[in-house]
Amino acid sequence: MSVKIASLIFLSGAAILGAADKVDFQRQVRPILSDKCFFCHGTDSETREADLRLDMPEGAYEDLGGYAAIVPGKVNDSELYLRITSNKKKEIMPPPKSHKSLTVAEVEILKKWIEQGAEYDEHWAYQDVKKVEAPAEGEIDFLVKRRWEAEKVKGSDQASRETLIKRLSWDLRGVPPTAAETQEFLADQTPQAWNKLVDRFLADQKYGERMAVWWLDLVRYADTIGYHSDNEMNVSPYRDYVIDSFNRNKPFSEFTTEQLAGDLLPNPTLEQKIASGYNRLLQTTEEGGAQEKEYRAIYAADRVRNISEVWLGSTLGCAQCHDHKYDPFTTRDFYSMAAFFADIKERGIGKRQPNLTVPSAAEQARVTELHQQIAAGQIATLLQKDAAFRAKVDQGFQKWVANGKVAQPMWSKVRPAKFQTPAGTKLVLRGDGTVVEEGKNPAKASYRMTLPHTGKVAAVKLEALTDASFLTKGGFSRANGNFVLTGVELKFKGKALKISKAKADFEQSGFPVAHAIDRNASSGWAVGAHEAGRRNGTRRAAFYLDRPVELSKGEELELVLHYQSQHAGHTIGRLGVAVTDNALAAIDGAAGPPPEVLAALKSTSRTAEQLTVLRSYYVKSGPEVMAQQETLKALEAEIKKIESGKRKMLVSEALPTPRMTRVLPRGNWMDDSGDEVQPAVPEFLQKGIWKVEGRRANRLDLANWILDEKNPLTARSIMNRVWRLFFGRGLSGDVTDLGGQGQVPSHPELLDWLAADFQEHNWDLKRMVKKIVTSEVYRQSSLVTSFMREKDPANELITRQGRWRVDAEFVRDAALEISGLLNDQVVGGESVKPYQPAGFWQHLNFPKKTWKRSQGGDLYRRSVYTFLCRTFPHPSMVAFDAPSREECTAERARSNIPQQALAMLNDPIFVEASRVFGARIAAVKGELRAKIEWAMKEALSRPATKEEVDLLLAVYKKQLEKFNKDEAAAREFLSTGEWPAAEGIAPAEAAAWGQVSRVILNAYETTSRF
Amino acid sequence: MIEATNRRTFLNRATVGIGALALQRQLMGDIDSGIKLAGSPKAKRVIFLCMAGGPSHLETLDYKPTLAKMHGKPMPESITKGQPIAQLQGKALKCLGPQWDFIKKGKSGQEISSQLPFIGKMADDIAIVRSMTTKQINHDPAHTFMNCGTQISGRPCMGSWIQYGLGSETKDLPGFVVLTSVGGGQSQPIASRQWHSGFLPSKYQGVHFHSKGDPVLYVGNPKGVGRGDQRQVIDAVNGLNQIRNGLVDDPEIATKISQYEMAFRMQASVPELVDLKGESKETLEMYGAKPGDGSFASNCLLARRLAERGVRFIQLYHRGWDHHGGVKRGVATTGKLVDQGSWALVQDLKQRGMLEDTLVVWGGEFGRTPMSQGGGNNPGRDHHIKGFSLWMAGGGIKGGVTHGATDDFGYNAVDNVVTVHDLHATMLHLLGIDHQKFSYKFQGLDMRLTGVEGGVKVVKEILA
Repeated sequence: MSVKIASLIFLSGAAILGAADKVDFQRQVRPILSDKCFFCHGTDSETREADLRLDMPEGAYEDLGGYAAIVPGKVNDSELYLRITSNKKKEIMPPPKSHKSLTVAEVEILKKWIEQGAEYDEHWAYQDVKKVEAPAEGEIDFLVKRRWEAEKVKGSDQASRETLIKRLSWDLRGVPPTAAETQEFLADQTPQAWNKLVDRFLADQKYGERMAVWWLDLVRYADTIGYHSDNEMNVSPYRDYVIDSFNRNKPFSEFTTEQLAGDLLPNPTLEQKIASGYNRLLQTTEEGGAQEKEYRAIYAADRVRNISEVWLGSTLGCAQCHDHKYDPFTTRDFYSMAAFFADIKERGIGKRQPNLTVPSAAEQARVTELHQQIAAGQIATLLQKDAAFRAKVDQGFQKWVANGKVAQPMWSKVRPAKFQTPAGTKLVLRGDGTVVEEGKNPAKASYRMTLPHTGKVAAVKLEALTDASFLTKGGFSRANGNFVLTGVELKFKGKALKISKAKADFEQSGFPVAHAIDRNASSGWAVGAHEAGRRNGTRRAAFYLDRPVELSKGEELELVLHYQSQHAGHTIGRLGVAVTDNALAAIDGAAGPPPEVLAALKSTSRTAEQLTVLRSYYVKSGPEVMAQQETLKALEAEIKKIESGKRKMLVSEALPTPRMTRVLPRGNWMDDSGDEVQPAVPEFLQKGIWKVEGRRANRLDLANWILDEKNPLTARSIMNRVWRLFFGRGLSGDVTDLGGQGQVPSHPELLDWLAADFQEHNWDLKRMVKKIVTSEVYRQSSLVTSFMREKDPANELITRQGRWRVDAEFVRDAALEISGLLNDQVVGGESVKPYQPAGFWQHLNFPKKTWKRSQGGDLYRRSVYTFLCRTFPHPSMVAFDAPSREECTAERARSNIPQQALAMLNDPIFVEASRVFGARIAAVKGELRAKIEWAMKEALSRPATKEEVDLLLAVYKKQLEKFNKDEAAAREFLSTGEWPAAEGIAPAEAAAWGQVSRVILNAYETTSRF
Repeated sequence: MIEATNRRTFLNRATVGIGALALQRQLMGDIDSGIKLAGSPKAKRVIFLCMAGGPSHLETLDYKPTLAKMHGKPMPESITKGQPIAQLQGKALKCLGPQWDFIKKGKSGQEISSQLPFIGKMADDIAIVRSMTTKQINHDPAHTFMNCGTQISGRPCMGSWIQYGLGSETKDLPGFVVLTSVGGGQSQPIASRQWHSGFLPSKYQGVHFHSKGDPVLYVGNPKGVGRGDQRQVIDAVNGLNQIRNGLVDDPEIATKISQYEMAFRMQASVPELVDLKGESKETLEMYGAKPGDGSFASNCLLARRLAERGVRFIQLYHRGWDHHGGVKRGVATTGKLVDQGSWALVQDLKQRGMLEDTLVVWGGEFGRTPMSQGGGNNPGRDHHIKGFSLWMAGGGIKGGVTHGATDDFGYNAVDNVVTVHDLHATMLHLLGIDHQKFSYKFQGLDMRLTGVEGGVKVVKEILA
């Protein structure tokens, strides 16, 4: 706060106390009133003291019974002035216990303001955006320099070109330039060199990844739910959408609409649905004992906070329990905003299942292709359109009819024999050939029996039947009706037969028949018959042999059925068994043709009608048709497999009837006395641009209002933050809050110019970025004179560039890039898990979790792809101030703490990067000094000084000596990380260069932007 | 010492840009003075023994004979109607009498559970607060509320606030350290946000010490690198930074240099700290600690060592108090795991003359219901926020007093209610900080640990 006040005084200048100068209400008066008076005399009607409000002239000038707080022009008649200058304890304002006393300078400003007429003006951020005239292509410089002239200061010289390319690369790509890029830029002496470089970096896919880090902070993107068990949630396609949108320069307006309401757009594309994942990014809980109503209220508030901070730069979230104290937001506004999201389909508590599968482009193409093949391959279609197929079927039909042979029934029943069961349980063969379980219903069991048969066997079919004797009517077991068949074995002459596949006519979710042949004793096939609606009828499963067997007369197969699941008594209570010689036999294949077909086939004088009967039977069951059906099934199975292997994610889905939203008095979720509210934007910001009437407003309306050209907040808030990316500070110093307690912009016209230009040019972000980075002020040096450091410590006049340590992600990315480890071939994909200390997740539970490290190239991807666990974000990232993404982060801290040194010195990724970089140094041809010079140029994009080379050479020599004496240590050092050690370099040498690299990577300059 | 020599040579290299004296002060001192708010502090540091999971006040510190008489009977609806309920939502609510006896202990005759015999032994050292309330009924938000005074994520916890207010007293260790142990009941997760600095500068965040692997993340040298090698690397890093600073005159670089020195010191001081070899057999026995076992008892001993070394805020979590079922056996088991260590810590501080300026707090994120959860032979208790207990000792706390009371059922705190904000205000008061003046500007508001709404009071009755 002290900085803020100091700079305010500076900005207003000492001259303000001169009688002639007019006090600036926005810059000088309003901040004082807001900070010192509005808490009790502001917008919040509930806590307003003495029924006096000072945030608007009507209140301030109001006759309070012969006197008024402010009488314009008359200081001594103004109660406010008398109170703030009183020395009586009971009278003085603000009251001493508020700890908000006014400084002498502040009192002086208020005095002057009243003398000059006490004119009020609407808070700057709520006024319309006004675009001032400025010379084309030089608007930013013009508006910044105008202020310099007024303040009688000068800007800094242009930075060196080496500095400029490095700065630009950090700012646009989040990595330093390569030595080759630097060389190329330095060689290009044409006037267009800078613009060309800007275009090149803007077109680099790393631009999207860099900007995504900024955006994902705002929208609090993470891979886990945040509360309690902090389980994983699938939203990574949203991250890829963000990267892709920045790279393709999607207009910010579309970018906004798709995120807030992509699902509500007409016929939303896959991309728009993915974007709507924004509404699912909030923190949620799966904690047992969580109260749904409470969490619904928590989620609603979370969303209001986020949307108002991200798009409006507002703290509407503060109006949850009471009207906002500093801005005209009411509690009703808060809940009306929450109501926009009451249509989001989601569980209040418990696990939220992904509701969108997201195919990759290749998967998408294959599925489309498969669907086409299936459509074209339908029997009816083929018969109609494919002459060759038709001919084949015709031929088969003619042969069949001419032959007149009745085909064997596809399945032949067998009568099992020689039962083996656990003691107390019997299997009994009934007259109809079915086998019934009697005696004790065992908790677990394995049953053996033989299947006498003669002829070829290609598959065995089991039929689970119900029986009147079962306690659970219509069930298939004597327990609760359901069974879990955990294993099926078939043997012939003592040898196990390989079962290649299994099919069932019904499978309970999570209990597919494949589980009966997966050699896992605990998993199995079940049919959900514990539920009444899934009983009755017959359940069938067929087990197909890899190679059919031929049984001679008197031979038999051996069948073993296992029921070894944790579900007690889940055995099939009545079983039928059949076999077939036809590997294509459908599971529900009837036991032969129906009577009319048999009659027609046997008939010696067939009628035309009978021929039709035969034909229609054949086109359903002929071998050509069956084969084609198999083909179709295989295609469908492939689709299913692709679908289940695809990335899944949480996206927005609108309920037909949104949940009711009411005002929660004092934010209390248990209080149902508040008014019901409909979706609406804050009343004071409706300003004739909120047009929804006669229907319930939705998220699309909200997006349209946010993007309305008359909305004063959106473009200002975004441009203020974008400016910060390139100067280290927003034009309004507080990038989280443009409201009354925020900071008046240092260059209001410039902020407005940027905002207006952004809107006028279709919300073209790259255009604005280019405007900024091609300005002269952007290219100033970041060196600061002691004069300016004193006069303008926060650099509000922009007389120099900013300098800072780069963001956490870019610290690691830079080490990867410099070393050559960076895997930047792929953009997007599932989140990855690079090295993390073992046991770091030990405090997570329900279920217990371990960080399963990624393999190969995934260890070296950019940090924007690192799995983000909200309760335990990666410790190296946290050390460098990466946020946990629990709430909107518009401005990261930039700390300088020992944990950063520990991470960069000792985290395996930095050690590995060092040794890999070291191996590259070792491979450089030339003498030692030349190697070091090369390394410094690679890392820092500038030549090393003699002093630096001396220093690093000393490290090399000493470390070489040490590692020469202790080669085991060298080998150990070189074994850090999974990247293979370089071949052909002596370990001691490689390790010593690795140590030199550690010095270079740890140097502050390597990860600082200046 | 190698370190000293190297530092001297390094200092000789110091070039223009930053005054050599200022640099030297940064290197040698490295103490963050915070914002210097302390008035007349009673306590200089805090050891917070967090009984995570929510201990049952009804089996530890709050004896309820009436509840014993009501055992098995329905809980009066007049008490429970419209109240927030966790896992007992929609279940029949029946009274569960105290599962363990209480014993009057010490000259003060404070009633303490038979399952906490060691704590009972020091009844005259501790002040028991029986009228705590909180606002959050589930573990995660309740911890956040207990630590940060709000359940909204992204706000600083009390350890960070206190560091911010008072600064650090150690140049070799972080000023805010967190230790964890488990046992005795299901281990509810604990999020690192519980020791996060929120909107305060990151240097005020807690540093989590681990019982396995590196005690502090990345404190160990890379494989094949010895301490001398590490020194050489750090000297060279600082050397490059010095050269750079000579050109650009950036205070961040000077800070960076001092942080590398601090990191190097931590690489020695942390292993020294966690090495209990130097502790006498008597001391180890007093705590019931076996070096390296990661137990709560060992952590208590480490807490004393941290306190001795000037660490400002030490927080121990023992995750094992979530007794939804089997509260009787649970309290006995978990109690046994924490009882002796808690007692030993207080006594050890006392015998070293440190208790008078060390505030010890012992309590969970909430209490447990007087109603039983799960019938049968092994009933438990659900989460409860309307009344629970904790104790405090040392650092300006009056020993031997019981403050506040719950109703006859142990349900609602009815007498001298103490909110979490009141607890924070009291802790700050003992540290010499007026909680009302202690604010930080965030989102336009003067944020306070004790909230922005007012009505918060220091619990004067338990002050010495």
